Amino acid sequence: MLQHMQKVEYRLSVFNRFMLAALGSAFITPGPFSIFRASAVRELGGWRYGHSTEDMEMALRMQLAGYLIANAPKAVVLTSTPRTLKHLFRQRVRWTYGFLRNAIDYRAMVGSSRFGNLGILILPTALISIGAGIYFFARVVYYLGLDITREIERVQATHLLAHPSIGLFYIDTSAMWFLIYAAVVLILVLIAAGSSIGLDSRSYKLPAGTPLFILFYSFLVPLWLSAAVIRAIFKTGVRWR
Amino acid sequence: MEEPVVNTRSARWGSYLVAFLITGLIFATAFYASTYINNQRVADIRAEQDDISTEILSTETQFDLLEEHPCSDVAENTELPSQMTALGSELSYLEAQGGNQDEVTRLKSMYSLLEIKDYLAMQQLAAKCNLKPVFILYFYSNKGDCPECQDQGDVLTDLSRQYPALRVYSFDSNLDVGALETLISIDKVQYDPPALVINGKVYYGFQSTTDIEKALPQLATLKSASSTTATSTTK
Repeated sequence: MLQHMQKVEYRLSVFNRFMLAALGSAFITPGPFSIFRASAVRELGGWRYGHSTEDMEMALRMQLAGYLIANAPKAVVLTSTPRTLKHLFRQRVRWTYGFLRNAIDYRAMVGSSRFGNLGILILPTALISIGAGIYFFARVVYYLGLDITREIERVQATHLLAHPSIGLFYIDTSAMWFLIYAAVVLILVLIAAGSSIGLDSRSYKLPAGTPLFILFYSFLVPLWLSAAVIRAIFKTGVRWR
Repeated sequence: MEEPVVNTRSARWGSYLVAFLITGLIFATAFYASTYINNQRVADIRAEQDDISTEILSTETQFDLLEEHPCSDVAENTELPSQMTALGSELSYLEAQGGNQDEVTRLKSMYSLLEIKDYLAMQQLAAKCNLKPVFILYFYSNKGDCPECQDQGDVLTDLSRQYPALRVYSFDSNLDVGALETLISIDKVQYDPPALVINGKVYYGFQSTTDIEKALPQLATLKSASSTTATSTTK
């Protein structure tokens, strides 16, 4: 189940990598399969410690030096994904932690127009999305907690169970919900675009795990984002396995 | 294999503008759709209020007819007009949803007037024809100064379900409606929500189902098929 969800996520990341390369803003070369020109790596001083995300550190260093990073979306690469929640969590904490620490190391690029799309749009958006993911998740949890507490108090006071109002009239049609529907549709379109870009340009098929991904990933991601932020603040380092 | 994707990172402001416009369009569509549906709801409620108004007018006309005809010719209807039940909870929901609160307040004012008219018509009918409708007047506040109002509303809604012939009239104490202010002064209700008027006596603070059943022994005599809903929401 977890690997089915990751399959969907990888399909989405096919689109992301394509988009980043098209904007000249790839700031990570995928770990499973990246090819580096040896002369470029030597010229940049070779590999160095990059907060357990050395591929990202190298990509940022290349961007800083003005190199171009290309993406081959049709290249077929097989990779093994974490089978358990614990391993997935650890991997993602490492990725996010690495990004945050490297973003601090290369902070001069963030928001700088000298680095074009990467500096103006991509890096700031990536950082904001981490903050937004944690904020909105915390907000949902907070209000859910308030609702549950309120419901317990209500039952204690009235000795009555909730009587939900049912009917078309009571469907929540606030603008926020329309934006959530639009966001879900957009994610589905991008997953389909990933399928088309990475596999077959005429196929927009969504992987079978898509409903699971939509339902559960939004609850999982904020957890490892939060853990990574805390670790990045305290510079704890991260484990590989 | 196809050619790899590679590009320079120089910002193309035209692309940013297009992306911004598309995002703006998505947001505008969401707000438009939400506003459109909420306006439809308001229009539905207004239409329902027109129907209720007609039903109350019918009750009043029946009362006028009593001057010339015996009570046996008048239909005995000790329940609230049928649509008033749903209308109360729909208004509560609309209020809790936010949006155009001025319009919601106008609808609530109209709803309160309809309740008062129904209350008076039934009192007149009861006096003339020796009917015994059972009333509760409920005064609540949505201004955030009445933490018990939501619970009180739930208790009254539940009582209405248990005793469908019970007529619960719920009023927002903060509404600026002359007739409501007159009703409040006639019943000598102070501003201390939740307040209930039961058999002419005012009760302040939360009243449980048991408290109300004690204060209103006539409840035990009630039996019927439809119900009414108490209007109470907190912001």
